[in-house]
Amino acid sequence: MKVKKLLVMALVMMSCVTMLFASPAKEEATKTDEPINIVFLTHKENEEATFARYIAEFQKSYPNVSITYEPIHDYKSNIEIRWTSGDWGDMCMIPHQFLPESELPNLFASLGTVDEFDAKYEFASAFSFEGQVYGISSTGTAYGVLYNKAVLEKAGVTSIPKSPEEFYAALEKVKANTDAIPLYVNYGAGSRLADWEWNARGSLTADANYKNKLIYMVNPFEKGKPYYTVMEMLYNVVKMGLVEDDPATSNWDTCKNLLAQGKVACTVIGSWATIGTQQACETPEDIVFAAFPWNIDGKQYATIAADYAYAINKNVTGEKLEVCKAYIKYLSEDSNFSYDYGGIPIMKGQDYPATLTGLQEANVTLVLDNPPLQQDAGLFDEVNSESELYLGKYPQKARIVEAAMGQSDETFDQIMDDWNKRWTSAQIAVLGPDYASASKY
Amino acid sequence: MAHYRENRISRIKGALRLVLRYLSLAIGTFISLVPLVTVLFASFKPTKEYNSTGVLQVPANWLNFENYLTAWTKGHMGLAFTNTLLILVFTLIGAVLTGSMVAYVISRFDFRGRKLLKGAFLVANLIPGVTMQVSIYKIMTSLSLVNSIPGVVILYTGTDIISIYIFLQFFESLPKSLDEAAFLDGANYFTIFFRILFPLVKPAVVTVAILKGVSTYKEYYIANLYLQSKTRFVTISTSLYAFTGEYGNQYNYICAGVIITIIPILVVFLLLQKYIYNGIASGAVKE
Amino acid sequence: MTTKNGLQHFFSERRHQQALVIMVFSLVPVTLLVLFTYLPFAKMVEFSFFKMKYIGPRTFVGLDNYAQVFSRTDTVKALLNCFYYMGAGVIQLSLSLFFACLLSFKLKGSSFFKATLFIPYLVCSLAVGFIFKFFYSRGLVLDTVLQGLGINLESLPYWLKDRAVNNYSIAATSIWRYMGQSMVLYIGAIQSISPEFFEASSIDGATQWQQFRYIMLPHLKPIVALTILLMIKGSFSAFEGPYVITYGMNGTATPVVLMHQLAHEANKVGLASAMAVVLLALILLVSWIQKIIEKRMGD
Repeated sequence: MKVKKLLVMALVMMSCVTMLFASPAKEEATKTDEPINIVFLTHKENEEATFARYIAEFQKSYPNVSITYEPIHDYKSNIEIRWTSGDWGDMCMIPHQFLPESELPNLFASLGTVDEFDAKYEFASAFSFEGQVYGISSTGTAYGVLYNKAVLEKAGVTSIPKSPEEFYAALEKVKANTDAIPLYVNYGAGSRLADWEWNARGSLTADANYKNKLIYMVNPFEKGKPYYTVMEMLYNVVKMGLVEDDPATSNWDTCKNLLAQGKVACTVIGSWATIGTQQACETPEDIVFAAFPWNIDGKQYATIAADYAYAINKNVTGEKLEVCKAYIKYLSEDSNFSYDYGGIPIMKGQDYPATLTGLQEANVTLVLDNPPLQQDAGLFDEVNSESELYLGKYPQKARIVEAAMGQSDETFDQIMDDWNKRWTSAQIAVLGPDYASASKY
Repeated sequence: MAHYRENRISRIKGALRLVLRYLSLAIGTFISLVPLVTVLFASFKPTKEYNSTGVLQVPANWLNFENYLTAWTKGHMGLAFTNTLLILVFTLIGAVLTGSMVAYVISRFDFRGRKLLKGAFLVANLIPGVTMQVSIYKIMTSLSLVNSIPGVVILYTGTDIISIYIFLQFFESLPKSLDEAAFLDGANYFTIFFRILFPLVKPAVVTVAILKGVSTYKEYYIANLYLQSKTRFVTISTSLYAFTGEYGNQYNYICAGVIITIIPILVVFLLLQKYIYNGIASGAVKE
Repeated sequence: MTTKNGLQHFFSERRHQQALVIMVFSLVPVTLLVLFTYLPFAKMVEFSFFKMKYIGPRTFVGLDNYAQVFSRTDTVKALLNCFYYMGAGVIQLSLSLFFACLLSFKLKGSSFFKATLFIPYLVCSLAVGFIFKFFYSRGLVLDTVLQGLGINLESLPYWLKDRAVNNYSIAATSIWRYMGQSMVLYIGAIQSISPEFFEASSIDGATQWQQFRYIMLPHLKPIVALTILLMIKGSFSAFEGPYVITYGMNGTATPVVLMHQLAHEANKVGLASAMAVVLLALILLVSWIQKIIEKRMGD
């Protein structure tokens, strides 16, 4: 008995030790014919088939290279913990607007200069610092509204709304004339609420520097300013009962299916949602992505933003670094990734995927945030973090919906006042009391 | 006559008590199982049907095991079961050994630091460790324990006050005269522990194995963070994440997977429970 | 003389042996404890004095973060939400004690009931969000059951949307999830009671209630005390339920949900760490009070 137990214990320890030492040692720069293995952390789960296709394609030119994809669930919560260790793999995806620009060189290898990339690539500066590029966006997303045109037609709406008034009128018509939910607000899904906010930048202002100006703007959330307008629309649609009956239990998967079945008329979201909804729909041509209901002298704009970007660990050197760069080049230029996911193509001059032709036909101008001036790098994130307004994220938008649902006694104006107050004190804390005069835009 | 009536009354009372018992158990069972009805329904619906029907609509075909097949193959659940089994075996050995040894030391010896030892394990279980993961991750990297099964085994084995308490409870119910006699017979403490006391606390081992086993089996955060290569180190708790994503979840597969993961552990539970539930017979008679 | 010497020798050797056993048996567990709990905890305490993100430079701010923890209003609100989970915890433990005792007496079909009551504990957290969003959706699972009992849908609240009930709804899911776990724990403890007690008591004509009151309950005291303590900790650090079901929105944020949001969404790692330290102090305080009450009741 005793012997047996001791034996088991010894075995446990031995196996621990052997497994410990068996774990692969760090690879150094290798010679050409020696095999190179690249570990690639990705947020895309459930995509093994697609990745296998890319790897096979890439190996035609680099036969001695193998690539291991590691999908990570809940990527944004986990990836930071892994980055802090330094030893996290060779390549990864950087979530968009996740890291202050100044941190990029501490984590990733430079891929080249912005000027080099800008000639060929969209979003060349989205992940750059001091003129160096650290990440290449995998695709792009436009923000706006996803409609089921058949529902609109059934309700008697003949054209896609181009102003808030037309938008409300269309939704009211859907409510009166059909059984469909006019707008699915997706409150229960949390992060989807953030999609409203993007429209307050490019779509409403046509100004590529609007995000940068926010850093220095005095009370950017007061009445009449873009953020107020967009957030008020979110408040109003909920308040007017134009959304699902029980938003607290809603989720994106349900939204997608209801939209595809014509039980929902529209939802405010990013263009990435188009392809999935079309695939779920029997008449895909009814699902159209359009710009946010707003126009400037009849002309429509849509905010576009980079998506997750490819990046290389700064500890990768030598030939492996070159291989990693080549793989990014392959993914960006030849893999068709943007088309596979119905996103905005990453290479300049490429045609838009079929899912987004609606935008092109409506002659919508796409507006991409400019990177901040060098001295402003990282400032937006700092003011944002300090203020806890979670711009680009959902928590404060949830607050607006809750007020509109009658679940809190705040009025919309009180919330916006609070936003202004928080933003102002964060501006003072980060930039000093004379923040407004420091703007260079 | 009076005796007969009394007998009848007590019999009615007994019957009533029995009815109440079964009634409360039936209600408990109903509440336990009703929330799972959505999972069961969804697990039999093909994607198209799942997308187009309500969650409370009965599946068109109860014999459609396609989702189960997909969950099994695309979720790599075969490999996941192997990995989880490996992790479970070592974690349970580790948890049972460490738990019983610490409990033995605390229950049998009076030494300086005994209270401190017990307190240290207790307090460790009270820390809300939201921002501790970064440091733990760094320690794990410096020990090269990331992406290795021994790494997660060590983290799971770590500290678990519940196992220690379960063992304490059992050790304290064993008379100390037992060790005393053995000691006077010339046995040393190691022999006493491994050969005399340990075999006597089998029910505790089974209880710990069930509770620790289930929590390890389900544990997702550590598995997700430390077993990074999902192709090599996928576990039962992380396998279903193959069907989720920022842009949508395939719930019909997830639901099938949930049922696949529940079944084996339920079978093990049923097999094991007779070892702990040897039954205090109602009245004096042992089963 | 020789016997005395031998005895002395015997004792000293016994003490040595004891020391050896204590060291050998606690070496591995204590190492793991220090390495993976106390060391990271010390780090967390260190973090709480800095203004910092997970990544990037940090600045020492002294007690600023602690001052903030006490001056914010959302921390208090989140803390108050813990009481819903404490209430649910009391119900959960009472129910599991009830079922554990019921199932410890001889009863036909008890294996079946043990298994069914244990099933919810086997469901992984990924599925919990899915299950309860639909369970509480307007007109779906719960509403259907209640309508079956003759309750009008109009008179029912929106279980997650209405702030008047949503915390109850989420706390109730923790009863559902963890009842089976504490039940098994209690059943296990009941099994450690020597059967002779029951035999002797039955011969004396004790009823099952008396057996419960005078044999089981006293014996279960330490494990009940531990589960109460862990329940208190669990309620103060409730996370998974509110996180997977409502993301802590609509007034359902608990302290840990708030910390998670501050650390991961607002990048205020120092502040979140300070909150965690304060929360631990609070848990220790409450568990100390619990101990005093226990002692009082014991006397």
